[in-house]
Amino acid sequence: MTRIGMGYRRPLHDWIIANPDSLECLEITAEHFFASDHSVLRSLRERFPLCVHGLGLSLGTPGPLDGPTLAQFKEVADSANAVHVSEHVAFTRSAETDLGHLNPLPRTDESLKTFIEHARELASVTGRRVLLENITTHLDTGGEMSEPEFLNRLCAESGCALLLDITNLFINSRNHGFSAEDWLADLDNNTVAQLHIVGYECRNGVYNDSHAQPIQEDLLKLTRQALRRFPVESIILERDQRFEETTEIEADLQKLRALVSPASQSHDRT
Amino acid sequence: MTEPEPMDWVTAQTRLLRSPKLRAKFRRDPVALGQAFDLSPANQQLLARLCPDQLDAQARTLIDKRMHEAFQLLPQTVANLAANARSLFVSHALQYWPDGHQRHTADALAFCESLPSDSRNSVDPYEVNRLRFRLTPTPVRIHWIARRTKQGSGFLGFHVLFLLSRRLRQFQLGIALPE
Repeated sequence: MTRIGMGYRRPLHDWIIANPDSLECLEITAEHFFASDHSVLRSLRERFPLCVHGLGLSLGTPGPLDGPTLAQFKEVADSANAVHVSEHVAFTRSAETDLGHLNPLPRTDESLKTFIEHARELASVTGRRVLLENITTHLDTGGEMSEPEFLNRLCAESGCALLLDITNLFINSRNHGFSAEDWLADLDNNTVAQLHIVGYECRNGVYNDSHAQPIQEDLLKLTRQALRRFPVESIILERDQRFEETTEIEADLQKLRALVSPASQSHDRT
Repeated sequence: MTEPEPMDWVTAQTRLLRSPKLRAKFRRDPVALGQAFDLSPANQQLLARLCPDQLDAQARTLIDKRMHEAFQLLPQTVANLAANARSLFVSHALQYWPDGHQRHTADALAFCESLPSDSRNSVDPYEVNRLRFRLTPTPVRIHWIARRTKQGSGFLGFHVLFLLSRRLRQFQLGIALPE
């Protein structure tokens, strides 16, 4: 069974509590609960299975993971009794500067080694399965292998699964001119465990992940392809803006629910 | 004597993303910059293949994302700054890179503090007080407020902020000044 859930954001708290039947799981952003009270997490975990998603562990930065950040991440994962934890195939900081957002690394053996070591460390410290997410980027850093090849090796050698962000894949495919369908087809079977999705924006021919739009049909089409290939455990709607549009959010959740319904899945297989 | 380690890729890419001057150098001569960074030969080759336009786009995105987060915390200040808000933020953002999980709050506060004197009057003191409250864990904060808006109305008194049921509460106590 594929669960349908969304990223927990404080402005949505009251709506989530008032509409528990709309959601089958929640994703918590670890950094939102750093150095803060965890009673909300303990209350939410009574109602929903929770997974914990990180933004700033910077798994791609060489050297040891930042100890205090990792410790806080673990505390959040423990308070949430996380089903699994996840982070990005990216770096956010160097030894000198915290860039604050996700950046790509070249797809090389050197990068792979760093990610594998850090993913294993994260799994070991949190005592939980780790999922790794593909990012969106304007910068193609190149490397010795294709992105699917890199992710296949990363998952196989680290013991992690992929958190496939459908929107990020779609945006990259449009901005960098490749086939998202072929990219998906190049992933190994059983690699993907979870999906992220939210509508994209396109301005002056450049696609962006504003996390503010309703899910478009081309994203649903890619999601269907992913659901046919992989044993997806959950799909998370990743909305970060326009929280007041709860009708729109409900409609997105409904679209996702329709995708994973037995009727839809049997239809897709025929 | 041991050879110094070559610069790692992440440090090199980060320096490029934060510095328009380095990106201009890269655009002029990527090979020379890779050598100046003292990257490994393999990473020098990778660096030389990066697209300068894509580097600029990625760097812009980093600043845009920071600006989006900071401006959400400063709606009134941004409204007061009007059309100047974006360029002022970009000037600030290139000089200051916040750190840690409260980086958006720290960024917003540093932006207000970085504004040139002719824009200082646009800063909403209540927003700045809220940022300081978030950054400094304390049960209660009291700020002195003496301000006159561009429209001419004014206020003289205290802005009190405190936590109740884990939520920020606030009130002000003072006198409204006539126009």
